[in-house]
Amino acid sequence: MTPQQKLRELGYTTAPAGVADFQRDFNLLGSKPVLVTSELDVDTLNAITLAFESRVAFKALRERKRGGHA
Amino acid sequence: MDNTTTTTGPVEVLDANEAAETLTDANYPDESEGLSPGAKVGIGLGATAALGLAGFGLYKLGQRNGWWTPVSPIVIDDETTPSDGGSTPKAPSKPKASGRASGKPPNISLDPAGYNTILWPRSAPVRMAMLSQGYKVEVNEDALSSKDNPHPQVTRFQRDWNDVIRGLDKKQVRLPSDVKKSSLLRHYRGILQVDGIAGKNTLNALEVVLSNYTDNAIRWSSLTEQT
Repeated sequence: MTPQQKLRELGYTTAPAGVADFQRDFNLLGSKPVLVTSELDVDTLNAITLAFESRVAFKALRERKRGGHA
Repeated sequence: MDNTTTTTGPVEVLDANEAAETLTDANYPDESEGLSPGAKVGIGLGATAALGLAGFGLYKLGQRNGWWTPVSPIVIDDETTPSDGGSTPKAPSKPKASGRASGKPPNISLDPAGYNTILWPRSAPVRMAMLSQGYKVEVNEDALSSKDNPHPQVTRFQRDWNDVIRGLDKKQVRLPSDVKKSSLLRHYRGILQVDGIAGKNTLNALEVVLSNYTDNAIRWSSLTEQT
């Protein structure tokens, strides 16, 4: 599965705006932050891998941080 | 002493060299020659059974010492007394007939490893799930806990879980009834050992919490607040 497919699976578009959205959400997690570059740079690719591997928890945590049902 | 046989009364004593030679294959009589086919089969079966028992004993010894356990980043719980802080290993206990506070949390994934290896391939997803449910852990790739280094937030989760499960039995804690997947509600059961180690039972409990959060929108804190 490509990083772009993983990004889509996580609920983002692969356009620069979608990548930036992911980067901002990832930085809410309390993990090592990534720069909001809107690009699939090395740090962002690693972050996508981590988030995809943890996708159930990632989505739950994103909901919580966004003030969803948590 | 020379290499001769010494006779002392009725007992004949052989020296070492002679005794060794006496027991070589060439000189040892084939005992089976004089046995019936049934006796030979019996001896064969006996030998096979003895080998099997020895092998099983070796397997159990290895199992106890962890020789056959694959190296995993996820710490696996011991089979221990399901009481707060208990540490005495024992055989798995049979769940009691009724009530949620018996046995261990269910492995709802049915993963043969005993916990969901797809959901929890490494420590980072565990950390993220803990954080999503209000437990302050950092999200990184470090092991969340180890047998020598329990994590206080894992301990807190284990205590909370046990309190909620016992509270459900006492009707002190109530689950929402209007949920999308009511079948997930029955998974709130089992008691965790409070040891601060995110082993398979703790991961199974965390999966129950997470699945009810994502599918049924049940906030874990809404249950812990009732205890």
